[in-house]
This record gives sequence, structure tokens and C-alpha cells, in this order.
Amino acid sequence: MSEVSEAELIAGAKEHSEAFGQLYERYVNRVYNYIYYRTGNHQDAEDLTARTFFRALKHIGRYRDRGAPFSAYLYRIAHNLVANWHRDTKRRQVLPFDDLIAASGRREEPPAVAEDKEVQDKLLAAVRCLPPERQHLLILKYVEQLSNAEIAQVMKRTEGAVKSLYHRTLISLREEFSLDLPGEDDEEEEV
Amino acid sequence: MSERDATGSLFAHGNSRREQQAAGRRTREASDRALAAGLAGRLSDALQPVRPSAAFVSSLGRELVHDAAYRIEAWKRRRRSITIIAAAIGALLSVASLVGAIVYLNSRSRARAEAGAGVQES
Repeated sequence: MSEVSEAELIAGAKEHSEAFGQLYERYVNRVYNYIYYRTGNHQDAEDLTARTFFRALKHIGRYRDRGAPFSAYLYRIAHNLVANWHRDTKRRQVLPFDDLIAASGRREEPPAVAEDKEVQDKLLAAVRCLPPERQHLLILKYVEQLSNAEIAQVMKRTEGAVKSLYHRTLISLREEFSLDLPGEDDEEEEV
Repeated sequence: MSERDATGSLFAHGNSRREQQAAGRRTREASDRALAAGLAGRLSDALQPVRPSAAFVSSLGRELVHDAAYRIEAWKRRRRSITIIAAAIGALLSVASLVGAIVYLNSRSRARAEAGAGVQES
């Protein structure tokens, strides 16, 4: 059976609760990941994910398809909620990044990587100091593993603008976070 | 040193400086690219997808579907109410127009009759 298209689901969600349930299942992980990496802890990620979907549900009747994927709409809601969360709680400096590290299965590997862990903590801290738009780009690229074209759709930019923003983000991140990188052996990642 | 030799020497010096600068720029760019690539690798390691707990996902899913059903029902009720109100207003307007037309026609015929009586009396 062919997968129901996003547009059909959105239209259906205005009339049938199950359709909204399917939209939720399709996007819950993405929204959760986005919020998790913006807030740094599971409790707030769960709370804000729930609020994102409830807000989307509240306004789904007025949603108009303008060519952007539905995820862009959800990310916009999530972005606003995260911005409010940062403003209200002012937790930016005391985020439990151990949480982030523990969350990944890869972090369960042998402790020979303790140094790496520290570097990753610092890197994540540096990422979270970036402007929201750049954090969003990095999350879409590395967590969601979207292509530049997909990121461009979500962020409502051109693909070239995404490439350029990505490049500038890496440069500023590098300046912000002076890593002792083994650059010579690595190949340049295709942007 | 002749003027020609001096000019040649200056040209050669200028070329050599330009080449050095270009080489320096190329080295810096290569170093930038390598550092950026290394950083991209680190980011890829650090930004791993996470999964929300299954209990959270299913519980939120149930709540949302329940809430969606309630909202959709509310929308439908509201839409029905709007339809009924619109129909009622439409019906009232029709009746009012009909009454208005009757009153107008009545008054016109009365006016005509009075005008006709006035002519006969004169």
C-alpha cells in the first residue's frame, strides 16, 4: 500500500483525528530531536514537543500548504517555543550536557574516548552558543541527516544560501571552539 | 645596473611576491578546508539522533488523537451552528423582503386609488 501523502494527511487531519495521529507519528522524532538539541535535556524536550504538537493541532484548521513541508511548520512552532523557553528559564549556561552524551548509543563505547567526550561536550556547548538559525541548520544536517536541498525547503532558503550558511557556521564554530583537529587526514566534506 | 635590468629585476620580484602570497592563500584555504572537514566529522559524532521514550510517544499520541477528535467535533458543531444561523437569517430576510414588498405594493395601490378618487372629484 502506498504511503499517504503529506498533503492528504494534512487535509485529513482537519476532519479526522486519526490523520493527525499519523502526522504526529511521522514527525515526533524529528521535532523531539530538534528540541532536545536546543534545550539539552529530556524533560524539557518532552514538554516542548508536546506543546509543539498541541499548538499545531490547535491551528491545523488554518494551515495552508504554501509549498514548504509540514515539518517546516512544526519546526517554526518548536523554534518559537524553544526561544520562549530560553527567555523564561535562562538555563543556557548550565545545561546538562552529560545528558546529551549519555543519550547516544555511541557514547557507551569504551572509556578510551574520555577525552573525546570532553571535546564533544565543549563542541555541543559551542554549538548551543550559535544563533538559533545555525543551530537549526546543524541539527537538520547532522541529526536529521537531510540534504542541503531538503534543509533549504525546511528553512525557506535557497540551496546556495544553505551551503553558504553552513560554511560560515563551520568557520565561526571553529573560531569559537579552537579544536586540535587532525585536519590533514580528513577529506573535505561535500557541502 | 641598466634601467632594463632593474625593471626586469623588479618584475621578477613582484611576480615572486605574488606567487608567495597566492601560495600562502592556497595553504590557508587548504588548512581551512581541512579544519572544517575535521570539525564536520566531530559534529557528526556529537550530534547523534536521539529517540524519545516509547511511553512518552504513545501517551502523547493518545492525548493528541483524543484532543483532535474533541476539536474536530467542536468544529463540526460550530459549522452546523453557523449553517443554521445563516439559514435562519436568510429565511428572516426573505420573509422581511416579502412583507416589505406586500406593504410597498399595498401602499402604492392605495395611493393610486386615492389619486384616481381625487381626479373624479375634481
